[in-house]
Amino acid sequence: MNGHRHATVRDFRDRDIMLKLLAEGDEDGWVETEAMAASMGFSEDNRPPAIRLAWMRRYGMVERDEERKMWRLTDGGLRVTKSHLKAAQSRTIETVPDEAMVEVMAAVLTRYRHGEPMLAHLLRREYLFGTAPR
Amino acid sequence: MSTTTEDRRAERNEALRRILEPELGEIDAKLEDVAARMDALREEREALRAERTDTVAMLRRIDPDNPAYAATMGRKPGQKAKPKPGDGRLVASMESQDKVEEWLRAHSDNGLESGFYAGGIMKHPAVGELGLSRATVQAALKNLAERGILRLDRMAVPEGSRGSAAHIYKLTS
Repeated sequence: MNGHRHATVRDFRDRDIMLKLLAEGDEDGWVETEAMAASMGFSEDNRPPAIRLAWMRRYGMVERDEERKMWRLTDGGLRVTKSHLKAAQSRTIETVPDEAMVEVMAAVLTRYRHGEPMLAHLLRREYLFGTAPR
Repeated sequence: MSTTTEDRRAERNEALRRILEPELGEIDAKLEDVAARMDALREEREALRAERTDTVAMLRRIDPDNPAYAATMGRKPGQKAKPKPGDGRLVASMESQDKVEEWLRAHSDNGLESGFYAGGIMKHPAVGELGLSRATVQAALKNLAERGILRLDRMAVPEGSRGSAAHIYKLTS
């Protein structure tokens, strides 16, 4: 049973679902809706994850095989899951003073405006996830 | 089902998709507007609450015996305030977060393969090495997830538990 009936961007961040798809996928990366839903704790009702994946498809993060009702990461989505901050980059960010983070945010927003649409959606939705009331 | 029927259905679905796609985009934009308005209203509510608190404090100084300005924050006199569980914010120190991350990596092959949550960690045989309270572990897990070190794998009621769904995490890499 799952007491939680939502799988929105305020519940699961996009990257977590993308990593989940990567982990659950077959050799070509495909996962059935039911399998994905069950593995996210929605075995009794796969609609919340299905709706969520449908939105992520609109944003270019995942693709769907309509006939087989299966999902997998797009090439862009796959690149996001494979991308990690290098240890030195991570350390640099951690040492940035809080006040200077405004400049970092400005740099992020520049990427948001001028980058790939899928990445722009991911950045916007990461902000939504991070600022959602807990 | 015949191929023709399947084809017709596929064509109909495609046509519906083409018709509905722009509308979905509009709904998406409207939802975002509503979310932005809600944020603005929340901020306004906080500002009004702060103003009310200041005004009541001022009135209390002027007329300290007036029960209307007693420091009850809307509660009946004598009624105790309900505890705020950390005001909804779970924050663990960086030291605790590092400790929990180190412990998770050390025991990742030791019963944590299918994911972990605060309550489960507290039942782990090696939890003694952590030396942290359940609340600290819970906060550390949440903070590590916010930093992308953990990923939320699923929300599920843990085995043997009759409580509500728990956030089950896994190490991102």
